[in-house]
Amino acid sequence: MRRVITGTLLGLLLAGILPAQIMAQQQNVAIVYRLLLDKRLAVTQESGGMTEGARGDLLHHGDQLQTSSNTRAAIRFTDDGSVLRMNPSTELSIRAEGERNALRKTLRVEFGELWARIQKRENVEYRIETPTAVAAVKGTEFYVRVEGDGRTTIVTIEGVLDFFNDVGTVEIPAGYTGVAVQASEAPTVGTTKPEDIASFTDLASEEAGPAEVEDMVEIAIQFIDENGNQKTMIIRLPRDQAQQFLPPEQN
Amino acid sequence: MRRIINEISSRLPLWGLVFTAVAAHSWPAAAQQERFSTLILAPDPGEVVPQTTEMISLSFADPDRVLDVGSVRLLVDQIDRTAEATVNGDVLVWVPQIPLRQGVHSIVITMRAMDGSGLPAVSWSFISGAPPEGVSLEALGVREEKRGLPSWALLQGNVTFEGMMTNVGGDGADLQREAPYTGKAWLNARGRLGGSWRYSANTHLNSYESHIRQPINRFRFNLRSNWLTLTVGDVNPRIHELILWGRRVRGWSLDLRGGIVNVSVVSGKSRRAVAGQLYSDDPTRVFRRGTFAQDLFAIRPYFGSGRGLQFGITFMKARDDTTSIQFLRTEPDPADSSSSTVLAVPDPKDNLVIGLDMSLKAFRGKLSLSYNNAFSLYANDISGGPLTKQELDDLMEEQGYDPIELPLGLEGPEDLADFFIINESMIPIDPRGMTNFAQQVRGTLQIGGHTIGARWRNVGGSYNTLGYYSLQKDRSGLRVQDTFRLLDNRLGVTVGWEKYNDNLDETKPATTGTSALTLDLSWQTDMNSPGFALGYRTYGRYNDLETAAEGGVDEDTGTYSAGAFIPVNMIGGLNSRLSFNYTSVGREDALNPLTGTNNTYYLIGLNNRLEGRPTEFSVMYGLNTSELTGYDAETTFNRLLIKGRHALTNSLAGTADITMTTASSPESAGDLGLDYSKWEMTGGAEYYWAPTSFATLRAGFVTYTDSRREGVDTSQLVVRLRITQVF
Repeated sequence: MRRVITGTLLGLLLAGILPAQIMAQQQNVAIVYRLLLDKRLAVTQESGGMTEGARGDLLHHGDQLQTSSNTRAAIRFTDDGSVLRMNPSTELSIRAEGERNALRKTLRVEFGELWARIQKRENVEYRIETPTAVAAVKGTEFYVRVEGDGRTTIVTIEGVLDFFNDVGTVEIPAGYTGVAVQASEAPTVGTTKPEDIASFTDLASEEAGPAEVEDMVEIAIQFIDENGNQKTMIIRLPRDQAQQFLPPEQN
Repeated sequence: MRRIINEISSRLPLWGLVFTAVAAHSWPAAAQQERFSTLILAPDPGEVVPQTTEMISLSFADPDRVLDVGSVRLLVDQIDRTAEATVNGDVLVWVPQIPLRQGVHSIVITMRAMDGSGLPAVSWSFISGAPPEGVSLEALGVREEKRGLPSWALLQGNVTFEGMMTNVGGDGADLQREAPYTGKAWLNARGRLGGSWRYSANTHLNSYESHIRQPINRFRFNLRSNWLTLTVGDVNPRIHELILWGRRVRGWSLDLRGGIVNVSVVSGKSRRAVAGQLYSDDPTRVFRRGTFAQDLFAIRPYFGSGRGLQFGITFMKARDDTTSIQFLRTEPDPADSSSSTVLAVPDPKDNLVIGLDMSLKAFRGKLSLSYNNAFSLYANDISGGPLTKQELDDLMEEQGYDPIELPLGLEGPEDLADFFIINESMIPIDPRGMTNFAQQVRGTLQIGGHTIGARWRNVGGSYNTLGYYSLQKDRSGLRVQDTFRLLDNRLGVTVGWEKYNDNLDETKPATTGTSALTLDLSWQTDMNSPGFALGYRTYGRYNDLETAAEGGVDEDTGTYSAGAFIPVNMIGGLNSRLSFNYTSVGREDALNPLTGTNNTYYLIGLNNRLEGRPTEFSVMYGLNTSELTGYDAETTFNRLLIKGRHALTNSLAGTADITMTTASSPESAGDLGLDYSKWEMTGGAEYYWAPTSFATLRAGFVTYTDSRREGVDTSQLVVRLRITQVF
């Protein structure tokens, strides 16, 4: 009898019909794509182990990410190339359920701010879960802010999100902002005001932010190519690596 | 191969299933390779990457495991970097030990299948550092990744059906207005038509929809591109902050954007016609007064894209359709010979509003300024139609004004009737006093980590717009707010101040003013540390009159709040968060001490989550004491909420909610006191039969027992089923 059960389980496993979550857990769900400023990203695995994330590290189902108070990070999902950028002091966990070509990915944001551009793909669903509401996403660009008391603000830049909790559902089209104050109160939606996206603006670019940009200098080198045309090449370097090229007054 | 495996499996029952499974996966090699694909993760083709952040990564989608991982070769600028790269499962990653030289770099990744056949190589280029000036990416042979979809329409969206059954019993069942069966459905679909053209369709159907109420169902189809947005169905246009701001209109809206010259247009019904009705058993009384259909049209030509300077002119016209319902009249009372028929419909309105708007954005949007104004004409009752010229002159004389000479050769108000109905109900009767004028200045500045916003608004007492019902008129004032973070982003601060006053036309016996000051602080070091929040708000409302009976006002309301949430790990793997909140609201009325109140709220919550085992539960207890200071009576409210969700399997989860609420007052509270208890118990299940298909079922029981009032106790059974399909 025991042999029959063992054989049956092995057969089911090889036929790929064991719970899809097991398959998902074996996959590399995302990769650490960028680390900026202090470059300190804590990655806590589902098993409880914690590592310091580095550029190129692979992320898996159940991983919890936490940026330090002076780190910005970006991750990229391995199956569709969707990008997610995190502001300092942001915590989120990644869950991927289903097989690679039909995944439901859930990003649980406990606190902080992020920007995401989700690539549209059939049979793939993204959900942003926060303490007060859930946003269902399919192919869009948006910002998310989760405050200490769970208050959630979602600003849609492109596409549409369905934003809901147990009490109500709203749709957030591009140019609109959804707010969920608490889980027992229906989310609301209104037009996006400048102040809604004030703290997000740095997230929309790949730049590190003012602190890092100010430390870069541009060096212009003029030359004549083989056809006799004069051209200018501009090289951007960190200031500390560019001192030998700079006149003394700019050092 | 498959035949051999099946043959073996038939002779070895124990391993039969195993071999059957292997056979099921023995696809032809060509088909397997068709399912193999790659995705460039980093850098994007043609991307300019800062020198210190380079990383090369490729993802393999390999459901049939055809890739021979050992055959993968990475060439960067024709140098073999395979030994420095890692292939972990289905992702290749190479992080240079030293930054690459500035300029264009080529990447070639080659690979073979397990059977030795070649798989397509992947090659692309990227730029390290800034690109050389004057050299286009195309010239370097670098093509931008195509993110566009095929030109044919792609559809995505979701459809949801919900059915709810409610059964109410008990002495107070007749007081409940719950429908026994409620059905709802939502359909949301959207897609791309190629280029920048997209479309979306949204429908909400509700069984509560009725021709005797304003629409609850919603229908909307939207087509948009870089230069056009066309919406048909229910639209909520926001084209001017003082004229038309979110009003539902069933019709169409169009936004044409030419860059410098643009136009927005809205047209449709802003209200549905609902016929009035008399009581069937007493036609002398009105059961429902009815509602006229209302037509709304607005147009706003505007100039500038909005990224810098923009200027717009808005014209809105809204008028009740007096032919949409019959003018209902009550019947004379047979027992009262002096009674007569009475007209029982609301007064039909006419409204015309014109306004300007200007906005300026500078310093990459860090400075934003806008100015809006609007001028309204409003006829409070157009059932009698427009005045004649003689009637207008008589009216002006009666009001003490000189006769008005209409411009453009118009002889009398009848000539303007298609545009606006001028009659004795017009507000104001003489628009030259500018009491029907509204204006607003708004500014936002982001500087040094501060986001400072200010708004000054002045809305005259005779200003009326049917495009923005909730706009408060006869009000002028300023509101300022600053939000910033300090101490390495740990401390968040919001400071706000506002002051308003009314009686702009000086037609009231006194001017009533309001003022408020707000301060909110929040502190958190990081996610594993406790967080704290403090709030303070003082609000005053006052005028110069000395007694409440004369309309005197002298109120002060103070609100203090404090909150903390503390992450705690009580048991291994249990992610818990404890929260405390306290709020005190005290209101004093110097002119009417009986209306003073003191409210305190205490809230304690515990949220738990089991990492990796998707179990969540939360417990929350709230205590609220509410005191009517003038009556020396304090009512106590208790509320306990327990909520849980546990994923039983990958596709099935169970949920449970229990809420208990009680309220009790001392005898001294008299008729103002409360004494009731309410229990709500709900159990449910969530079932996913596919990643994009799920259903939720909730069934619950609610009991309400009131020991102070008779005949209101109820018990209620609620069952709700919701099915969603995402496509």
